[in-house]
Amino acid sequence: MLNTEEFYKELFEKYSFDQDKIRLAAIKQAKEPAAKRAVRMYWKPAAGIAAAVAVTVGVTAYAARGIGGGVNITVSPASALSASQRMYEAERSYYSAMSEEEDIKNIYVTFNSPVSFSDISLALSAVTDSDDISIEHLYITDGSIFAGKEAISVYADTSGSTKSIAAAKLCAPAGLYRSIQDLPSVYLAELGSEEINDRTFVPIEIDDSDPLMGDRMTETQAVPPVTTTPFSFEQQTSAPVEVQQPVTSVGTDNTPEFTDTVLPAETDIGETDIPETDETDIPEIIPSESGETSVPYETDVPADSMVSSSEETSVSSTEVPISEISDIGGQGLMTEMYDLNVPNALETHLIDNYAVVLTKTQVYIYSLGGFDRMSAAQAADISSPSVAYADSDSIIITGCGADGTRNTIMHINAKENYVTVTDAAPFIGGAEIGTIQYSAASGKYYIKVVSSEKTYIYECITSAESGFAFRPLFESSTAVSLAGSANGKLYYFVQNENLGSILREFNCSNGQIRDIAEFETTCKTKRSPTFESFAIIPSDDGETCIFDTTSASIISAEVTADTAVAVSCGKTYFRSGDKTFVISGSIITETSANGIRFVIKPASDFYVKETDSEKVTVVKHNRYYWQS
Amino acid sequence: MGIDALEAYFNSVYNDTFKSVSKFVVSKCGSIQESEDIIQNIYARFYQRIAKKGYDDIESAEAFLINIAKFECKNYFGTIKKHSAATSFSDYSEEQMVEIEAEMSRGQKCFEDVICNEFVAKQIFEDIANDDPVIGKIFYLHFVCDMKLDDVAKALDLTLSSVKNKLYRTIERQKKKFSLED
Repeated sequence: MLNTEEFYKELFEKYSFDQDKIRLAAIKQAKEPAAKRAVRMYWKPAAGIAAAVAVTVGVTAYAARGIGGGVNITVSPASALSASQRMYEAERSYYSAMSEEEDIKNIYVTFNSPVSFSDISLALSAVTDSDDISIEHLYITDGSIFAGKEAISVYADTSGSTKSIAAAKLCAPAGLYRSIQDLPSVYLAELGSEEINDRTFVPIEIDDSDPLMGDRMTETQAVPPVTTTPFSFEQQTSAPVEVQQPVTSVGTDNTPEFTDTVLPAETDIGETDIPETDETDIPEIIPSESGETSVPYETDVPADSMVSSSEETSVSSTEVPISEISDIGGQGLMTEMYDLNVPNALETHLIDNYAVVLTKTQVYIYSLGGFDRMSAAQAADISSPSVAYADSDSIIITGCGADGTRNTIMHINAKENYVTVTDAAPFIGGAEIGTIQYSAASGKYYIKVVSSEKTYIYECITSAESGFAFRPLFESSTAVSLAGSANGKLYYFVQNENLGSILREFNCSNGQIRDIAEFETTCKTKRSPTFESFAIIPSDDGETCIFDTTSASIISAEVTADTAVAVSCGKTYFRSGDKTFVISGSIITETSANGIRFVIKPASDFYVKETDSEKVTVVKHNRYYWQS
Repeated sequence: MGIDALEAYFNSVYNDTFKSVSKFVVSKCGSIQESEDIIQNIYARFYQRIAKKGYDDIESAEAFLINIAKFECKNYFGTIKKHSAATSFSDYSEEQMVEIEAEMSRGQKCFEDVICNEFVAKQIFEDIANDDPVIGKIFYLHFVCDMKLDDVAKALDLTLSSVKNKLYRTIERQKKKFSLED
């Protein structure tokens, strides 16, 4: 006996969609060229999407321009047909139009690309009975409209060869509609109607970047070298979460002479044995058990204030077993679980509410949360993708070009909701991208590029519009390791296995170089996440010290080679053994060892529960504030 | 690539993904009827793509299709105003809702009779489909996609109370209209 739930389930499963019918119709639609044209949709990356909407609501300011007594038109579209609905209407008109129909109709024509008046005249001349066609309005790309014969005549005389006409209103026998639609330069011809008329018509904005006919990001990597695409889902902000969360990153710099030792952050979260994570673990300082702390701002540290430390060694992805999370004070309960059906995933990185899944050849970006589950905003073809840098706002992935050279940079900016892919080959030639480091103080990226002979250092800025822009700083015939930056100066080590290391300062504004210190052996470094301070760790077990870039001074402190570094609320903390030091100005002071704990600050509310050959399972944990 | 292999792949993907694609489209689009057109377009475009470029590079067909669906939905319904969350009639009280929910779990013989009567069953379905588009979406997402009502509410940007009221009121109305009570 069915209950109400079962009844409606069965009813809707039976009648809501006829799956077979839709399948067959889809195949038919795909195969028939005419139908294909009718459903042709021009995908609009970035602003194009918004533009498509603008077409329908008429917010595009098409101001009428009366010339020589031309008719002024006030465009205040009343209809709410979308671009695609307009295409469907056009399709219907196309099939219903009878060739012998002689009624004069208004036909609104949007061109594939801006054309000149001469182009229109030439194109229309190809239509049989073209003498019966008159041009009533011209819609110019700058938003103006020339209406009436006199205005159009003036336009033809003054700008006849300028390719700036986006659309035109024609008057022609209805029987010519198909011929006009079939003109090569015509994108869409629409019959005048209640919805499409002088008051409502605006040209459809056209963009040919159809993701189905090729992966947009890959196809457009060559020229121009940058593609920009916004996430198509809503950005969600995540509140501070004090849960241990592994977020991993793989550095691309494999310079053997400078392999930093990555120190695990302390995991004072209950009794959990969460795998150590390395490069992008984001430590946070939280109150001690007693609640006492000598560190200000110990609570409610906004996620934005935390940036990841960046190292140069490679690590593999780690996972947190759900049982362990659940054990944390009994509060780490699962709330959402998502299966990201990406086969053979190599790495998954979580940032805010996004999951970035890397396979051997592709990068998938998923939004997590709400009903948008399973929705990949992007799936970009990037050969051998590798995460070069990650913080709480963005992830930078490098990939290899066709020749196998690592020269492609994908920048996923979760904070500002865009993705760019930059082909760096024009800037760096045949060299390969190595370390990428972000300076929070300057807002610039510093990129090390390595060829077989030299190391090159670039200063880069990035934007949604232009991707990465490179500015060469200097080159070196010996190995270079980036260390820190402040006040327009870049600090780096020149490494020579036989002669040791030299810490140098490069003035980015005037190119001057000065040596800061020389070390008899090569040095490893542990950079602060903000790129402002770093620990200098001699490889011969010599004294470890701290370098503060803001004061350009070496600070001696009782730190050891296993020093960990963290940043919270603008302050840099170094932790060595039981001692924790905080840098303030050029002074480093020890803080209460018992009052400080480092826990890993997640960049996302989600964590990777499991990865198998078919999918990646991502789980959202409850937010809680740990107190033991 | 042979046409048989192509269609076999397409059919396989279609069967595997239809539910998730329809779920996405229904939640994003105007109504059940409109959703059918969108779904057809999505799969038509997918077919065109694999016919033209193959499918070796598609690691996750579902993700690929949802990606298409997002664009389709945006292009089709970017201008449709969001429905009002307000109901035009008085809402059920909590007690009434609990009562209705309890009633819904009780089996009724007449439901089986109705399901077997295609004419009546279709009438009942169309009664919902032709009603407020949101109601059809609520029914589909809840009953077919097995979404909890609070998830449906989130997906449709409605309050839980509004979703429950729309759902229960429609059920109660249909019970009277089609004599769906033993």
